[in-house]
Amino acid sequence: MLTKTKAYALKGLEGQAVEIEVDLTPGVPAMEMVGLPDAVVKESKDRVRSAIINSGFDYPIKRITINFAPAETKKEGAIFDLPVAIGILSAYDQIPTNCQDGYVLLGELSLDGSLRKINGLMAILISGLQNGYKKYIVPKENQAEASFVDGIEVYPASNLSEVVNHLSNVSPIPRLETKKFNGKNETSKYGVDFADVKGQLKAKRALEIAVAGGHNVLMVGPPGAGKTMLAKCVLTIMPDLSFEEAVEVTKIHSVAGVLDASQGIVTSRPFRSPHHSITVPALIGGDRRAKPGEVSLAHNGVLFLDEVPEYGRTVLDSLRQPLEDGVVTISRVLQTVEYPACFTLIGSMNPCPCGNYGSKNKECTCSPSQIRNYIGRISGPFLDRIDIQIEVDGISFGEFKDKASGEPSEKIRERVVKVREIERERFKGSKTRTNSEMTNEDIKKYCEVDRESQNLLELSFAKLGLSARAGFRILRVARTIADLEGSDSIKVEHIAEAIQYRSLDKKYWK
Amino acid sequence: MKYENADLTYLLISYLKITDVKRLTKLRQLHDEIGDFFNELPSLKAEYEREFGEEFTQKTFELIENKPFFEKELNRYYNEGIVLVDYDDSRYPERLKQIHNPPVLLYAKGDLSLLESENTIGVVGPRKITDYGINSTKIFVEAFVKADITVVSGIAIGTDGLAHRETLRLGGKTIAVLPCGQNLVYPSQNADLYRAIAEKGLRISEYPLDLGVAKYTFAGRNRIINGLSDALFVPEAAKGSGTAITMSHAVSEGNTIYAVPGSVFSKESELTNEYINSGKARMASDPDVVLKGYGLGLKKEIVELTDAEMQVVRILKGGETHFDDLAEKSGLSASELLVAISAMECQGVINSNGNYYILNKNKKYKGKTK
Ligand SMILES: Nc1ncnc2c1ncn2[C@@H]1O[C@H](COP(=O)(O)OP(=O)(O)O)[C@@H](O)[C@H]1O
Ligand SMILES: [Mg+2]
Ligand SMILES: [Zn+2]
Repeated sequence: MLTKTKAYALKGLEGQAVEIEVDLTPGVPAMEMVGLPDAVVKESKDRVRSAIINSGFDYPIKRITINFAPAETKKEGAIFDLPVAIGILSAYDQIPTNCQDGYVLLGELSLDGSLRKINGLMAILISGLQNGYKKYIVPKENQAEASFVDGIEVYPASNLSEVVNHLSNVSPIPRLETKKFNGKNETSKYGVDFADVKGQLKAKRALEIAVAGGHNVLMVGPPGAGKTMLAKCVLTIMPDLSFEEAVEVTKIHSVAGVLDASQGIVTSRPFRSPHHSITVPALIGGDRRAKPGEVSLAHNGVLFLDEVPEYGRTVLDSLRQPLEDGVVTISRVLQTVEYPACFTLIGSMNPCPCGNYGSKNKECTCSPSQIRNYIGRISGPFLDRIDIQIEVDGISFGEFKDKASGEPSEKIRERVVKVREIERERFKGSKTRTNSEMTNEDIKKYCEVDRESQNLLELSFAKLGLSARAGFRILRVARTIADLEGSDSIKVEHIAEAIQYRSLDKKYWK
Repeated sequence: MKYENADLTYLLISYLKITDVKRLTKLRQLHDEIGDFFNELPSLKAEYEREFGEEFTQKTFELIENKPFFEKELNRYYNEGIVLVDYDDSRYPERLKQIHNPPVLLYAKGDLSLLESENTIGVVGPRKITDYGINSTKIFVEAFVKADITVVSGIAIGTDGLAHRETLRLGGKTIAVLPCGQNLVYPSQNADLYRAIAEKGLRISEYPLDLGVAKYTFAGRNRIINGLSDALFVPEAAKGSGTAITMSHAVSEGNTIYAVPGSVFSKESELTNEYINSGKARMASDPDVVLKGYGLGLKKEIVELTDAEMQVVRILKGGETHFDDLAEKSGLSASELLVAISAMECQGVINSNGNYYILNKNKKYKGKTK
């Protein structure tokens, strides 16, 4: 007899409904799966068979044909273990006919019949909800993640027997209760606070502007100057994570298999700091099975590149698409998927290979051409997307010991949040979200400057050797500075301050 | 083909590689009219052999066989807009004749009137220059330009390039002495500077059009910088560096050196400090010191500043100050301070060195009257 069971597959961050048909016919005992790649079939066959037998059910001594529809959906095996097993049991009359109707079954089986956690559950449940599927059986290990999706019924199970008992109404699983999300940003989450950073007033101000306007930052300074510490503090002044943002991040992290299963949802903004030996696929995505890369894992948070010149040139160039579009497109043989990748980039670098160029009390041992080549490695498309460049100098410990501690992160965050609200209002209904994302059109509209500001800009181009390209960056940053002050128009002092965040443009001599 | 006879003669003489002025003088004395060299030479064979020996005479006579070659060669210089200034030329700088081995012939491109500059100063320093060196070079060059002193340097990267660029930016006069022929560009990063100086300054070389750089051409260039300069200004110099060689050469030529005193921690200031201590260099603690040495003074420009800016000036009068300390002492917020800094940088009131700031002492400051 023939049975039909509902399952779900993943394509990028989208779930796709799959129907699994199981047919038993007399003949030489064998299992045939139609529409799946060989390797996947082989593994799945063995797991399903062992799980059924080890759970105390009879395994049919018949010819089993399993069909996956629609055929063109790319399926990755493990997630179908549970629906295949239930389909077989149902076809073999081990459970009441059609008792699985109305359910979507999700889960990987281990040989002993227990259900294993799957990746991408949040994405599947949300797609399922949108397509009108109401009831889901999910692995218990995934229950925290499922509890944040409202409007569906979820039944978490630990093993195949529990699923069977639930479906045949022998021992129903209680429906999972939904949980309330809390994405409030609390400094205590990070163990760092801007108040702990002594001095560095310019860097702190720059980072406040950066977070308020979504600007990317590059910090230049010798080892031990506090660049990493400052970068870590960035999270502490970011706005609370909204539920929508949290869901976006959770989907990505879950698909990538890095979600904390006990939490079930991401509650703070991600901070990703991939090592400079990272490959392009690992950074951009597509490493294995078109998995999301670091740029997507950093979505709605911070991507920190420590020692930027150490990253390969192709690696840095590959950041162009995410930095420009806020998404990455990954093309694989059978599918093209898109992942969001909207992050604030914080880069840090030494001023030269030895790190001491420009230091007051340490000697730089590099040659002029070594220094030039070092800086040269980060030129081009990458540098074009950096609005704010600052120098962070190594003040000796003795010096900063008696420097004043700063404002707590919480205070700074309040100002940041206000600016984010202004930006939301300003860019309502447009693709642009923050000042840093402003297009040339936006700039024309929102960054009008008076004669005096225009003069200052021109003067600074000539005097400080700034490039015309730097001009647009300066305007975007000036917009954010004006917003921080609550000023509708950009005034000359906003431009004047913004000019100070172009230190790399003027620093390096020929 | 049209050419100046003297040019042709000196082009040929340059191929004889006479490095000794006495020899050159003798050669000129043998001829009634140096421009008539080619015609006169055959009748002077005996005198040549007596004065210069057989080998030199033979070489000279072989060279004049190749007159068409030299004519062609000369036209290449003309086509490039290069002027030949020989030792006898009235434009040949007197001060250059004072060194032990002045060049016989200079190939010049650009504003030739700069050869007759009233005052000149050579700027020499390392290719790898620190922020301190950059900032001192900037304020001294600014003073030189204001006092109408021509800035002479060697168009290398680092100090040289900075000195030329700052001079041009401020509308001053600059002479670049090349380490190669006029058709080459070395170092390639300064290609734009080569062009700019040909247009707005003067490029000098003692080498044939296509001659590339070699160890001896750098040494030769440094000797000409010395010769063209009334004094040398050295912002930084490490021991054992190229600058060190130029400085010791300047001492042996009796040229005045002005050296900027530096930090005891900085290797780049080791030699400048040592020269100052041993009295081989005068301490350039202020641009005024150098200008006084030239018998010049600077009329200080008065700059009007806002209250916040005046506060910063007052603090910076006490010396180089870190951003954080400026904020603390002035009571200005980071934002207010950055605004003041931008305005002051644009007016050339301060220079920055990382997050440290320095006051430009070439100007006078007063508060804006309301
Ligand atoms: N301004 C500062 N205030 C307090 N501690 C600092 C400061 N700068 C550096 N430190 C200390 O020095 C350590 C090294 O700083 P780090 O951020 O790793 O420097 P970098 O990344 O520039 O090499 C930090 O862990 C921190 O304890
Ligand atoms: Mg670090
Ligand atoms: Zn170094």
